[in-house]
Amino acid sequence: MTTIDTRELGNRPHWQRYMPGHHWRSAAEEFDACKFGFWLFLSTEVLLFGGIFCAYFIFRTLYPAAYHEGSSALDWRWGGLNTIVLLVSSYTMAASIYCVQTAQFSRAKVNLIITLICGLAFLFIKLTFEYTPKWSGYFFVLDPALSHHAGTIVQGKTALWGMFQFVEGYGGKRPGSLFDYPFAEAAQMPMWWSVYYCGTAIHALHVVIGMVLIARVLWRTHRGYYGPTHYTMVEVTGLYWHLVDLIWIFLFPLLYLIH
Amino acid sequence: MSDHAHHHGSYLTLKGGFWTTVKDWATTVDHKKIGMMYLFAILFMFFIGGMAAMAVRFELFEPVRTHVDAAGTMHITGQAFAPADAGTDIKPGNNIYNRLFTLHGAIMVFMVIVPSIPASLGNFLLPLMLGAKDVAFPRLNLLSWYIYVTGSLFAITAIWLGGVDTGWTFYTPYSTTTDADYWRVALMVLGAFILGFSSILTGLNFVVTVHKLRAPGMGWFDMPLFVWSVYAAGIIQVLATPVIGITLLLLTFERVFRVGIFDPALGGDPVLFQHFFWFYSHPVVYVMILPGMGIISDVLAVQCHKKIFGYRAIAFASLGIAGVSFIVWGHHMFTSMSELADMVFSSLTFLVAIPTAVKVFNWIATLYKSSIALNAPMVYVLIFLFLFSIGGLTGLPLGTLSTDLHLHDTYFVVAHFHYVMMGGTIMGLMAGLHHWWPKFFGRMYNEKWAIIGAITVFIGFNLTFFTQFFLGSRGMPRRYASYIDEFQIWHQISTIGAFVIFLGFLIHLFVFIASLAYGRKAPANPWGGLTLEWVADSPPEEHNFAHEPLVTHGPYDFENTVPPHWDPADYPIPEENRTASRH
Amino acid sequence: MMFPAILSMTGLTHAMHSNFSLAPATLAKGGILDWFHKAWFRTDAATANGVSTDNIGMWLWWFCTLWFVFLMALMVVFVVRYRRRKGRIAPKSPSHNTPLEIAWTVIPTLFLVYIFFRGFWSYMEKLVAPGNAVEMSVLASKWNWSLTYPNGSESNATTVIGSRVIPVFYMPAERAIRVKMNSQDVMHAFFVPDFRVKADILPNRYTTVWFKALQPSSGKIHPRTQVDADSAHASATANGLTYGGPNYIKELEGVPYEDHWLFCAEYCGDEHSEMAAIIRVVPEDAYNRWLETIGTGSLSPKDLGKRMYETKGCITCHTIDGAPNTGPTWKNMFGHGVTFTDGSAYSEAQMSDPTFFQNYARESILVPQAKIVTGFGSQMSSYQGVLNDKMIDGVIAYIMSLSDKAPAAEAPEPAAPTGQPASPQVPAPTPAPASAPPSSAPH
Ligand code: HEA
Ligand code: HEA
Ligand code: CUA
Ligand SMILES: [Cu+2]
Repeated sequence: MTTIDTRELGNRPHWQRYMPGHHWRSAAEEFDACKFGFWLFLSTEVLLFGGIFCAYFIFRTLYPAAYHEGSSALDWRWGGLNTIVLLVSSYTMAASIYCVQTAQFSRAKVNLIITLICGLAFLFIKLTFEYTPKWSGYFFVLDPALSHHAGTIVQGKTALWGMFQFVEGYGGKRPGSLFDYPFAEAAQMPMWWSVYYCGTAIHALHVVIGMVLIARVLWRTHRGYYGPTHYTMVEVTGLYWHLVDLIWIFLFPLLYLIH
Repeated sequence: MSDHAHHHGSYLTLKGGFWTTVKDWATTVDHKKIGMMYLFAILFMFFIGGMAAMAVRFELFEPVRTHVDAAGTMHITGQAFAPADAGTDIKPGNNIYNRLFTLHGAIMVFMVIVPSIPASLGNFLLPLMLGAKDVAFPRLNLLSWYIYVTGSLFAITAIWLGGVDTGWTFYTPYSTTTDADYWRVALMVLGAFILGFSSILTGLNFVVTVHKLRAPGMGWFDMPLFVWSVYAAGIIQVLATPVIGITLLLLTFERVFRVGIFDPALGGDPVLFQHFFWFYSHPVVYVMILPGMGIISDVLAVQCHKKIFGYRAIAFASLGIAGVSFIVWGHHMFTSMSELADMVFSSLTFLVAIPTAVKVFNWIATLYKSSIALNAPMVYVLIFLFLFSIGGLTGLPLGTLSTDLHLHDTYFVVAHFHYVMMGGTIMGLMAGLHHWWPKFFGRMYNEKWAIIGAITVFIGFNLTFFTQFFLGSRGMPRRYASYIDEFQIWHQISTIGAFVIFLGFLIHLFVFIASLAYGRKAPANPWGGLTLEWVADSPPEEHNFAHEPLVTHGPYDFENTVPPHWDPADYPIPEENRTASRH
Repeated sequence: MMFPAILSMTGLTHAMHSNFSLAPATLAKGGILDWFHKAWFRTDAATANGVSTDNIGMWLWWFCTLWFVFLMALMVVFVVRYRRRKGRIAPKSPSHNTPLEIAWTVIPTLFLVYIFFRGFWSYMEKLVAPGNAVEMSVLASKWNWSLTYPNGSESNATTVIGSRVIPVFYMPAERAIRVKMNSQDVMHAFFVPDFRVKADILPNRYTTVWFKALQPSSGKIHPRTQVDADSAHASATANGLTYGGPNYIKELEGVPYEDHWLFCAEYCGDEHSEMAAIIRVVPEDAYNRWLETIGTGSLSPKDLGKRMYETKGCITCHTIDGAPNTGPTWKNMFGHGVTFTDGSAYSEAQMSDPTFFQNYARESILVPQAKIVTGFGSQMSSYQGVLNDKMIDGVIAYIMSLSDKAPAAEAPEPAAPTGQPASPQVPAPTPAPASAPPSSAPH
C-alpha cells in the first residue's frame, strides 16, 4: 500500500511523504477502508472468542457445582491486578494515538513503551502467579524415553497423552484431564479447567500478537513513519489492543468473580 | 491520476527472464495475477481430490466381504486397496478407503470449493467489474494466497505421512481418539484452521472492496450480480469462519493435550462439537454456491443479451440466503438433537429454499424472449440449472424431519451434496471459466470440443450421482467400504459414470491447453457483455483500465446499449429503444 | 395442475394423521405409483410409521419431480425458441413483474410450510414410544452390536450371509419396541432401512428409538429341523448364493419370519461398514418361546439392579421405603419432580420421561456431584468402573420399578422367565460383564 515518492518531497519525514496505494483516490479513502476492514477483522475475533464463551455457558449450566469449585480455586486478586494492568495499557495506547496525531512523538513513544511493559506484566503475572503454581509438580516432556522420572517422584504416575508425555507429581491443576484424576474435587472440574486454560491461553496468545504489533508501531514511530496525516497502523493497532483488553474484561468476571 | 494512463502492456507480459518472472509472480500484488495463481492452485487440488474420488469409486465397484478362518477370526478379502506389507500401521481393512474419502472430502471442501470461485474468478473480476484498479488490500490478498498454500501443505503433509481417517467432518470422539498417528490428525485439523484464515482474509478484502472501490457512478444496484454474490459470500466467510477456527483449535488442544471439551470420556460433549462444526459448515455451503449463482446470473444475461429478470430480487435473495444460512445448521444433526431443536431447525431450513427458488425462477424467466447463444458457457449454465435444481430439491426430503431420519448419513445425502457442489458450484465455475477465459488469457478456446467436454461431464455426472439417490433411499449408508450385494449394480453404474466425468474433464484440460498454445486471439468483448471487465483489454493491462471508467448504463441494459468494442451494425438496436447513452 | 390428483393418490389424507393400523397397502399395489415406490425404496416399509414416512417421501418425490419437469420443460422450450439468430437482438420485454414475483415467492412458501408440518407430525410419531413398549437395550461398540432383552439375557443368535457371520436379533411383530442405546466408545448410529428409523448412539448418554414391526410378510419359514437348516445352508453356499437362513432353533421351527438389516450409520472407524446385524421379526408368541430358551438363568435388569443395590453399597445411603438417609430415597424417585441445591429443578414431566430419567440417574451414578438434591450433601463417590453398563441399566430399572409411576412395560411377556422378581434367593449367576471391546478405556 505504501508508495513513497522520494522525487518530489526530498528528505522530509516518511509520514509527510506518504502516498496512498495506487488504487485509491485519496489517502482519506484508504484510511477509511483500512478502518472498516479492521472492524470486520475484529468481529471475527469476537466470534472466535464467542466459541469459548459458548462452551463456558453450556458447561456452566450443566455442571454448576464443578464450576463453583473451579472458580473458587482462582485468586481474584491476580485476575483483578491483571485487569488493572490491561486497563492502564489501554489508556496509554489511546494516548499514544493521540500523541501521534498531534505530532508529539517522544510522548507517543513513552506511551507505547508503557503499553508494552503492561503487556509484559500481564503475561508475567499470568505465568508466574497463575499458571505455574497450578501446574507445579508436573513435567511436561516430548520424549517418552524420559518417563523414568516417574519412579523418582512421589506418587509418580505417567501417562502418554497425545504426543506429550506428562509425568505426574503431586498437586497442581494442569490443562485437561481424565475423569479419574486425583485432584478433581468435583468430577467435572476438568471441564472447568479446560475452558479456563483454553480461554486464557488463547487470550494470552492475542496479548503476544498485540505486543508484536505495538513493538512494530513503536519502531516505525521512532523512524518517523507515522504522523498527523498518516497514522493508520497506529490507530489499527490501538483497536486491536482495545479488543484484547475488552475480551479480558469479559473473561475476568466470568472466570474469577462468578462462582 | 491520468499520469498512470501510459500503457504498461497486458498483465501477462513477461518482465524478463525465467527467474525474474518467477519473482514477479511470487511477489505480485496484482489481483489478476493472484487470481490466476489461485486458479491454478485450486485446479491442481481439484485434480488431486478428483483422483481420490476415482479411487473411492474404484473400491466401491465390488462389494467386499469377510471370511472366517478356522480359528474364528474374520478376514477381509477382496479389498482393492489393501497394502502390500503389514509393516505399516495401516492395517488391511477399510482403513485405506476411510483415508481416501477423508482426503477427497477435505480437499474438495477446504481446498477446492470454498476458495474456488471467489478466490480465483472473484479476485480477477471483482475490481474489473467495479471499475477499480485493484482490491482494497492487495498485499493482504497475496498473503491470503500464501496462507492458502501453507494450509494446503499442512494437509498434504498429513496425507503424505499416511493420511487421516476422520471424515471431513472430524466428529469427536472419533477424531480425538482414532489411533492414526497423533501428528496427522493435528496437522490436518491445523491445515483446515489455516485455510480458514485465508478464507476470512479474502472475504474481508472483497467486502471492503465492494464498499469502498466502486467506480464513480456505480451505485449498489448498478453492480453486476456476480459482485453481489461474492459480497454476500464474503460476509458469510467473515462471520462464520472464526467459529470453525476456534472449534478446530479446541479440537487440536483436545487431541494433543487431552483437554476435555468434546470427548465424553473427558467429560465433554460430542454434540457440542457438531453444533460448532455445522455453525460454520452449513453457512459455508452457501459460500460455495453463492458465487456460482453469481456467475450464472452474469453469464446467462450476457449470453442471452437480455436484461436479467428481477435484478433486485436476485440481489436481495443473495443477502437473504446469507442471512438465513446462519440459523439452519441443526439440519445436519436431526438424529442427535432434542425434538424441539429438530423442529426449529427443520422449519428454518425450508426458509432458505425460498430465496433460492426465487433465483431459479428469475433465471428461467430471463431466457424468455431473449437471444440465446448456445456456446460452452451457456451450455454449462443450462447444465447448472438442471443439476442444481435436482440438488436443491433433494435438499427438501433431507430437511423434512421424518424422511431425514431415514435418509441421514446415507448415499442420498452424498448424492444431494454432489448435485449442489459439483453440479452447482463446479458447473458454475466451468461456465465462468469458459466465459471469461478470453479475458483471462486473451485467447479463444475450441467451442466444439468444449461443448463435447461439457456434455460428457453432464452424462457422466448423472450416471455417477443419480444412482446414488436410489442407493440412499434403499438404505446404503455412506462412508462404507463394503456393502451388501443388492447395492452392487447401482455402485457399478456410479463407478462407470465417474470415469466418464474424468474423461470429460480431460477433454476440457486439452481444450484449455490447446487454447493457450494455439488459440485464436480473443477480442476485448467476444460475447457482447456490458459490465466493465469487457471495457478492459483481453487480457487486461497491468492497471486494468487506461482511464478510470465512468458508469453510464446498468450492467444488463442490453436493449438500449451497444456493447463496448462492438460495431453498432452488429448490434442493431430498434429505434424505440435508443434512449440511454452508449459507447 | 395435476397436483390434487397426485395428492389423493399418494395417500396424503391418511398420512396427515396416519394411525398405526394403517397397512402398507396405502400405496395402490401394482400401479405406477407402486412401481415408483419400489424403485425408490426397494421394499415396503416394515413398520407403521415407516409407511407414513414413505407416503411423505413419495409425496415429496412427486412434488420435486413435477416442479423439476415443469421448470426444465420451460427451459428447453425457451432455449429452442429463443436461440440466437443472426442479426436479431432480443426484443424489449419486461425484466420485472411484481405480481408474478410475489406469486412465485408465496406459492413455494406455502408448499414448504405444508411439507414441514407433514414431516414434523410423522416425526413425532416416530419419536414418542407408546407407554406399553417393550424395552430392549443396545450397546454399540467398535464394531459390534449387542442387544439385551427385557429379561436381562443377551442375544447370542447369529447367521451366515455369504461368508459373513452376522448377529441376529429376534423381535416380536406388532409390538411396540423401545430400544435404549448407549455406546462404549465413539458415536454409532442405529439404522434399520426397512423401518425408516435412525438415531445416533453416544457414549455416556442414552438415546432411544422405537418401532413396531408389521407381521412378517416375506414368506420365509424357519427350517423344520437341524438337518433342513444345514442342508439349506450347505447347498446355498455351494452354489455361491447367499442364504439368510438361521442356525437351527427348535423353538422357532416352522415359524414365518422377516429379516431386516441393521446398519451402523455414523462413521466409527475401520470396520464401520462391517458393523451390521439382522433384526428378525417373528410373531410374538414365537418370540416369547424363543426368549424363554435363551433367557433361562439370567436376571432381569430390575433384579440385577436390586442385587447391585444390596451388594454394591447403595443400600448404606439410600432407602427404598421413602425415608431419607445420607442420600435421597429411591422410592418414587422416577416420575416425581425434584429440586437441587444449585436452585435448578426437574419437573415431574421431565422425571416421568424414561429417557430423561435414565440419563439423570446414570449421571448421578457416574458423576454424583453433577446434581445434588436439595437437603443432601455431596458425599457420594463415582461408580465409574465399579458398575458396568449392564449393572447401571439394572440399577436404573430397579429405581424406576420402585415408583408408583413405574412404567407399565415391566412384564411384557406373558411368561416372564424369572419367577419371583423380588426374591433375592433366586439362584442366579452374576451376569457376565459386558464384553469389553478393544478401545473402551479412555486413556
Ligand atoms: C453447495 C452446497 C450446498 C447447497 C447449496 C445446499 C443446499 C441445501 N441443502 Fe444441503 N448439504 C450440502 C451442501 C449444500 N446444500 C452438504 C455438503 C451436505 C452434507 C455434509 C456432510 O454431511 O458431509 C448437505 C447436507 C444437507 C442436509 C443434511 C442431511 C443429513 O445429513 O441428514 C440437509 C437437511 O436439511 C440439507 C438441506 C439443504 C437445503 C434445504 C438446501 C437448499 O438451500 C436448497 C434450495 C434449492 C432448491 C429448493 C432448488 C432450486 C429451486 C427450484 C428448482 C424451484 C422450485 C422449488 C420449490 C418450489 C421449493 N443439506
Ligand atoms: C466440491 C466438492 C466435491 C466434488 C467436486 C466431488 C467430486 C466427486 N466425488 Fe465427492 N465428496 C465430497 C465433495 C466433493 N466430491 C465430500 C465433501 C464428500 C464427503 C466426504 C466424507 O464423507 O467425509 C464426498 C464423498 C464422496 C463419496 C462418498 C464416499 C463415502 O461416503 O464412502 C463418493 C462416492 O462415490 C464421492 C465421489 C465423487 C466423484 C466420483 C466425484 C467426481 O465428480 C470427481 C471428478 C473430478 C475429477 C476426476 C478431476 C478431474 C480434473 C482434471 C482432469 C484437472 C483439470 C481440470 C480442469 C481443466 C477443470 N465423493
Ligand atoms: Cu459403528 Cu459406524
Ligand atoms: Cu446444511
